[in-house]
Formats: sequence, C-alpha cells, structure tokens
Amino acid sequence: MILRLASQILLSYRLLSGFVHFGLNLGMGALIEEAYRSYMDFSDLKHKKVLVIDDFANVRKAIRTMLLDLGFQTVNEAGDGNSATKLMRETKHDLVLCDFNLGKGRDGMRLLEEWRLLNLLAPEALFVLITGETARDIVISALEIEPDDYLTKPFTMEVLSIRMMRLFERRQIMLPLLAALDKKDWPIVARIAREVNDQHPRYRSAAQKYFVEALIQQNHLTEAESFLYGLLGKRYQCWAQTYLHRIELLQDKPDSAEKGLKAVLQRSPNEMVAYDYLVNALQAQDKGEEVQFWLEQAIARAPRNINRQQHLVAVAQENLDLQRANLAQRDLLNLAADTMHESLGRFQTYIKDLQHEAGSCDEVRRKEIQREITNAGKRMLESFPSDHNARLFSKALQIQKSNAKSDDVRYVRSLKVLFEESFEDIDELIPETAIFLAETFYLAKRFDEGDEMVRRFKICFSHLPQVVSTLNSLQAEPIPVSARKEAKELNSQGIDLYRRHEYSASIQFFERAISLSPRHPGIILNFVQSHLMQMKSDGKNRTVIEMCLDTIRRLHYLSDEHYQYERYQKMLGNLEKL
Amino acid sequence: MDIQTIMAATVHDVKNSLGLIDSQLNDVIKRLDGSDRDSAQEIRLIQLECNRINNGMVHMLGFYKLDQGTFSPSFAEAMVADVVVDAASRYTEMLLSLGVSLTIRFPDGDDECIWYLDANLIEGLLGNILTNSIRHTKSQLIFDIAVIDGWLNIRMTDDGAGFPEAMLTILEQPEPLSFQSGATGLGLYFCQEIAKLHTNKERKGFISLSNNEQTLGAVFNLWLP
Repeated sequence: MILRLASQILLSYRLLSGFVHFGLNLGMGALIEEAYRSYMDFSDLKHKKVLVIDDFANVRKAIRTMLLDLGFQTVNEAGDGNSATKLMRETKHDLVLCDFNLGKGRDGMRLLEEWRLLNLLAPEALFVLITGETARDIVISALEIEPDDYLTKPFTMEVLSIRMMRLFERRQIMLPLLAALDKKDWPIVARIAREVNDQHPRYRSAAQKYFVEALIQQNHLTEAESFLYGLLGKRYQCWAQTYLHRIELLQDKPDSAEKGLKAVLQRSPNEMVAYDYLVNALQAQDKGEEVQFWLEQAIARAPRNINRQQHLVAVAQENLDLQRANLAQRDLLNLAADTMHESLGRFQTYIKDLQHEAGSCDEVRRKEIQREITNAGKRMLESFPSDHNARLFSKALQIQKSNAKSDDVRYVRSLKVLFEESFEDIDELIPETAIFLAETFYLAKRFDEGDEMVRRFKICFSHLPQVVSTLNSLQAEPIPVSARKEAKELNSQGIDLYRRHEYSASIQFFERAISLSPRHPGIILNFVQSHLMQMKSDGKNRTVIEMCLDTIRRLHYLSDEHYQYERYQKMLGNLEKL
Repeated sequence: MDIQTIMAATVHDVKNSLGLIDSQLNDVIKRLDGSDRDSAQEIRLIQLECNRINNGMVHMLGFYKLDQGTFSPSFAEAMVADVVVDAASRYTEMLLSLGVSLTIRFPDGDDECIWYLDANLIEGLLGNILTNSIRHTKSQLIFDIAVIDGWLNIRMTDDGAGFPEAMLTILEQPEPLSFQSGATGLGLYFCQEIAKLHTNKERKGFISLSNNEQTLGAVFNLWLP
C-alpha cells in the first residue's frame, strides 16, 4: 500500500482522526497546518501557555521562535529554576520545555520532581525534558522520573512540531487513564488501558503496562501472569519479563524472582525497575552484601536517583561498610545541592557518620575524613548561613576537633558559651543538632552538662519517640561507635559466663566492657550482679561492696521510665543493705 | 577522569560547536534564499558535512562503549513509522532546499506496524544513512516499511548512481574498515553493529546494500528480528 506520494517532502502519518499527510517544512506550509487541524482545533494552540527554561538566552530565543511559528501565542521564558518556579506559581502553563542542565542550581529533573510535589503542574500539563544525547546515564536517570517526553539536542523545528503533535495526541488519549490512576481506581484503569491497547497501537506498550499494574493492584495475580505469558509467547519483552518476576516476589518466591531478574539485567542492564525488584528479592533472603552490590550497579547506570542512594547508605551501614555508606552520603549531598532534598540534617548526619568511620579506619582514610568533615562543615554554613542549628553545630564541631586539654581556659569558656547558647531558641533546634550538642559535652567528659542537655532536649522532642530513644542511648553510652561495639561484644561474653555460673570470669569481661562504656546501665548492672553472686559463695567483701556502690551510682541519671530503672533501684537497695 | 568521560565530554563539546555552526549557517541561508540560491545550496552541503562530523563523533564514542561493554541499548515497542519520521524530520529543511522528496510507504498495508527495538539507536542509524544518501540522490528518497518472514524490513531507495562496487561488498570483508579509498565504511560498519544488537531468539539484525536493477539507485536494507 502506498499511502501517498507527493511533490517535495511529504510524509504519510496516522494521527488521531485517521490518515493525514503533512509536509515538513520550516515555513509551516498548508499541509502541516492541515495535520494540526485534524487532531485538534488549530486555534487551541493560541490559548495554550508555554514555558521555556534554559540557562542560555540564545537557546531560549531559538525555541521560542519555533513555538511561535507553530502557532503558540504565549511563550514565557526562564533562565533558572527559581525564576521558572516563580512563573509556574503565577501562571498555569500547559506545556513546559525544560533543559536538563540549568547551570548552577537545580537541574530540570529536580525541578519536575519539586513541581509535582508542590502541585505546580496541572494533571493535563506536559513537561518535556531537553537533554544532550551523549550523556546516556543522565537520560536514564531523567527518564526514571517520567517526564512526558524528552528531546535530544540539537533539534529542528520539524522535530519539535512532530513531537508536539504526538505529545498532545498522547495526552488526549491517556488523560482518562491518568485521571483513574490518580484516584487509584484500578478497575477503571484496567478497562481504559484495554481500550487504549485495542484502539491505539502507538500507545499499546504503555497501555499494557498500566493494564498489568491494575491487575496486580487488584491482586489478580494469575490473570496478570497469563496476560504476560501471552505477550512473552509472541516475543521477549524486557518489561513483561520483569513484571512476571515482580509477581513472583508478591507470591513470596524471592529466590526464583532473584534468578529471573538477574537474567533480565544481563540482557537489559538499563531496565532500572528490575534492579529495584532484585534488591527486594535479595533483601527478603537477607543477602545484605548482594543487596549492596546490585544497588551499586543500579546507581552506576542511573546515578541521579536520590532514593536509591539513600537506600545504599542504609544498606552499607547495615553491612558495616562505613566507607561506602559515607561515599554514598557525599554523592547524596551533591545531588541534593540547591534542591528540595537539601537539608541541614543531611549535612549533620554525614559529618557524624564520618566521625564514626574515623574510629575504625586506617590512617590514610582518617586524614581524608578530616578533610571531608571540614569541607562538609563549610558547605553546611554556606548553604544555611543564618541558621541557628548550623551555627551551633559548627561551634560544637570545632570544640570536638580541638585537642585542647580539659582545663584549657579558652576550651572551658567555649564549652560554657555553647552550653548557654544551646538553650537559646531551643524550640528551633533540629534533632541532629541537639544530639550532636549533647554528644560534644559527653565526649568532653562534662557528664553533668550532657545529662542536663539530654533532660531538656527530651522534653523538647517528647513528640518524637525515636529522638528520645537516641538521646537515652547517647546518655547511657556516650562513646564512639567502635568502642560501643567492642563493649557490646564483651558484655555478651560476660553474660554467657554468668549463665554458666562462672561469676569470677564474667566479672572480668564486664569490667573490661565498663572501661570502654562507663555509663551503660546493662553492663554496670551485670557487673554488680556478678559480684553479688560471687559474694554469695565467697562471703561479703567491704572493698568490693564500696566499689560496686561507686559504680552503680553512675546510673543516677536513669529516669523512672527507663526499662532498667527497677533493676537498678533493687540492686542499689541490696548493696546499701550490705 | 576516565577515558570514556573525556571522550563523552569531547563529543559533547564538538556537537555543541557543530550545533552553533549549523544554526549560524541557517541564518546565512535565510538571508541568501531568494537572492542567491546557488550559494544557499552550497551552504546546505556544508551543513551536510557538519552532520557527517557529528555522526563520526557519535560513532567514535559508540565504538568505544561497545568495546568496553558499556554500550547498553534500551529496547521497547515503538511504532516504526514514528522512528522513521523522527529520523527524517531532522533533514526536512535540507531535503526541501535541495529539491529532494522523501516518501514513506507501507507495501504490506500495515502503516501502524509496531516493533521491539531501540528507537533512539535506529533513529540514529537511519539518520546516518540519510546523511549519505542525500549527498548522492538526484531527486527522491523512498522508505519502504514491511514485515517479511517475521523480520522488520526498513528499505531506503534513492535515485542516484548507486553504491560503488567496492562498497557493495564492504560488509562482507574480514576487515570492513578501509583507508584505501575515500570512504572508510565506518558509518556502515556502525549501522551493522547497531543492527546486530537487536536479537530475537537465534535471529540477529543486519544490514545489506544493493543497487536497484532498473533505476540503478542505491538500496539500503535494515533487517530487524
């Protein structure tokens, strides 16, 4: 079948309302106008508002000219994320053409993410991301947040016009489906997806995905499976194979899903969602190291995905790979710079985690960490110059870094000033800063001030049980993580010996644990209890009793809500009776 | 910085420069059109050479990635006509200016043919072929899209003098790249590699070249499983 041969450049094309033919020429000849008229009222474009975002004025101008030639009458321009956001707040735009790279500040991808969260994009509005075609990792990352379309630079007016037509057509066809999706009305999503699948071959693939998603959401797993097998019977399709393994995960078959997803990724390493399901499958089997490996693989493909980076931080920390966790945190800070993801807490957590790593790494890495801490502290102050938390944290960091003697006059004065300042505007404190402040006093062995801070911060954050619990732990064990781990191990060994009634040997382990963690209620009470048992067979020993009393009195800070409080009271009473 | 990043950055810079040259040449053409059509046409040919440089950069980076095993296609279903139109639409102005018509035909009547392919790579491949064909055709370029024996066939025919004899067999040579003649065959070799990335069970994509027996024009065939 020959659709049509015509003079000059003529392409035959099927649009919404049947066959139309259009010539592609710069001057918007009659044929292209005819094509536009056939799918939508051409005058519609006049009323559509467009926003073009690019940091280069000449590029904006070129795109604007093209759009005006296409028939749009309102084309606004912005050179960066902030002015674009301002324009989006002021005017409802129907179409946004945004370059990925916007110079300093957030990029196009983060802008789309932010606008969706702030509801600045109407459901029917279209967002097109413009990218340079050489950076495929950027394209893959950008596609993950699902812009309506993406254009690679450079593009001609014809390219733009064709994409615009297709885009508006797609939106018109898909809008009812998207509306149902928004309401999570899965039976309707399934019905419309089937209709689109039958009537619009161009959108068949997207419709099939929505259809399977709707079946999965309704827990019609067998039906979804047989639909997917039907597709795969015709030919291999990466997404369909991935969805089959996703269903296996839902059917609690993580081992089989793991094998299948690894095969998918070997064949199609850009299928990002397959990495996420694989990670889920591995997590379900407690394969921590493999989880980390596959997260790293996914991040190498699409390095700008913030959720995956956050997941990597948590997984690497669980795997005790503190260096990897901190490298991921550094990448996260860079990704978050000037975006809605940037926060003071993120900087502070990073610095604290670096300090923890420094307690268990070699000298070379320790030096690197010191430089990184200084750098991160500086960046925090630059990003949040007038923030009370940033200032206090920075002061505390300086105190922690100084190697001054505990009686150094300037050192003592700095601590005194910091202690007073910590309670000014206490309501403005964020948990990370509060915990770091208290930690600073404990590390300086100023236990009374540390305890006072914990007491007041616990009141301040009483609505956040997790923060209260962290403050309790800090108070009980104000020591570095590495020492905490060692003390925990010694305590466990002591408990084993105690259970075997080997009290004398257990005391030695508890004693070593106490030397590392001098305020830990569990360890102190185990130590005292072992001595009490030992004295049952050896008889009373005045020196031992005095020493036990001295040790147990370190727990004076325990509040009556603490789970060891009752045990502490009872044991203290027993000792005092002796 | 690794060599791939350096190459990608170089390609990016060169492409930006080429984009700028292209846009400036377009401005000159706009001024010349009507008053000096011959010069305008000469500039179109310069633009075509810019496209060839652009393709060369893409090939270089592509080959490097293929060699390193970091070149990963993204396959999905796409309407074949869309892919061909996207490739052609980058050349519309040039075709118009040179008086070359471009037609897309569907010999088996299926103008809504959907195929599983990497649309970006195939669009690039077709653009590559178009860059060369535009230089050699007289007045027309025809795309025929059909499914034959379970293969997608995209055929492009021009009405020029056809491929030279040496070119017709270049892909069958053990060392397809040659510096002996003016054309290295690099572009075709790249197209062949892109086609080969498309597989379906035992089948693997390929390209073939021939000359039309009647018109003698060049015929380029892309076969995807």
